[in-house]
Amino acid sequence: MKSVLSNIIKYILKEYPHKSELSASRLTKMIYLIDWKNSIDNDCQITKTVWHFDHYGPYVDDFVKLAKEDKDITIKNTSTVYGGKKQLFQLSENFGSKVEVTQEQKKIIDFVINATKKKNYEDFIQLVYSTYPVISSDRYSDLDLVTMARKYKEISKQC
Amino acid sequence: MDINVEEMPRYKRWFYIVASKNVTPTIISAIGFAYISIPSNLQLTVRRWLPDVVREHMLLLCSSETWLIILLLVSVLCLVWGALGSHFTSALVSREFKKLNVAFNLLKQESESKSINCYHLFSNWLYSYSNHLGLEANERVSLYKLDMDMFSCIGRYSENELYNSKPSRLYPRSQGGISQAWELGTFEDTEAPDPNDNIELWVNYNIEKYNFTREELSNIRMKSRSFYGVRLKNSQNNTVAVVLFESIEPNGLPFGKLKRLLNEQEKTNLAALIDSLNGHIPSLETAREAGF
Repeated sequence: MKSVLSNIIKYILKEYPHKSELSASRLTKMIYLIDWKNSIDNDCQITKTVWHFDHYGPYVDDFVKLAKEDKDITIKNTSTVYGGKKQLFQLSENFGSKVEVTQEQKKIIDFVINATKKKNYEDFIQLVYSTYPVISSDRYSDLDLVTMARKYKEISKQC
Repeated sequence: MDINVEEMPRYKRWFYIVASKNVTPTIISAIGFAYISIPSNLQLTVRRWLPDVVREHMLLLCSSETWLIILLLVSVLCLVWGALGSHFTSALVSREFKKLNVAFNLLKQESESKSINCYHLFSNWLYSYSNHLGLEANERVSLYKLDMDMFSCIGRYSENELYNSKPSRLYPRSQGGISQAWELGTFEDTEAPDPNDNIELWVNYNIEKYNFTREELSNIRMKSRSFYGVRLKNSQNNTVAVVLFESIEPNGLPFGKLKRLLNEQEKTNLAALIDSLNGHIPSLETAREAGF
């Protein structure tokens, strides 16, 4: 699972056009959208992560830890225009190896990148908060994306 | 233009301060070169503008040729000073401008897209209703918006924390008091049996009247016995939301006051607010449009 998650992170870091936007929060929520999209389209998550609905939306514990331990990823401490601290995730300068993602995974990740790359942070968050698992779950609960995707598809059919 | 030099290293700061005083050297170099380039007879005329005492004193120090060389060196130095100062200042201004432009664009982006916590905002709006009507811990008021054929709660207030939490589910269009208000425009009911006396009667009443399932009713925290619902329409006459007042007591809702409070003007105001904030309210429709 770690290897899949790690490769997805690297693929996003490599392909996402606006590198300065890839904070821990944005990256985490992009991975959530990847899992949610795959649950809708393919009835399973890509990362097998247990998603938790934190105070600030979908969250997974070990993502930042995993990125910190990976020598191919560097974390740059920077600040927002308001002076707040922000961690930017980047591929290491000497990263040259190929990112291993399957065609199916690539299709989903590319979809998420394309759907979110033009959104500023607030619009991006608005999208995440508008997804069915977030809108229909209690804060501080775990999100069973696959089951929720099945329910969501039933609702979608009725519309 | 003032440039903030405090953040620069000391040597750069001093260099900038010296370089930025480049107006006088530029003028001096222009005068110097102008003097050097004119014919000797004119140079002599210019020299005669100086007082005799000064001229004599200067000639005692150096010859006129030496003074000419000194003037040439000073003019070259001033020219270099002026040019470097101008270049350095313009480079700094350009850098500052780029920084300001980036900050401006970020701030503009932030200010244009600053999200509004709509649930909080509408809950506060409903609090003002609850406060005005004097509702207590047995009552609750909620605001529901239709989202992909389901009702989504976009605001809620109750004095009772048990009933005050944001629901984690969406409500089907064909169920409950919300759907009644949605269909009829205004809806009230005080007929539900007391669940404390006979829960089975209360369950059956809700199954028959509101189309709930037994399982759904077992998950309902607030076992309400009276309702007052109002449909809200926007300026295009489209229904945008439903306000639903509930009480676990049959006589818990002041219907007369409710009707006066939710008059046409108030309904229009609230519908207009919902319409204006539509882009900020999380909705399944938004996610569906984006492919999620």
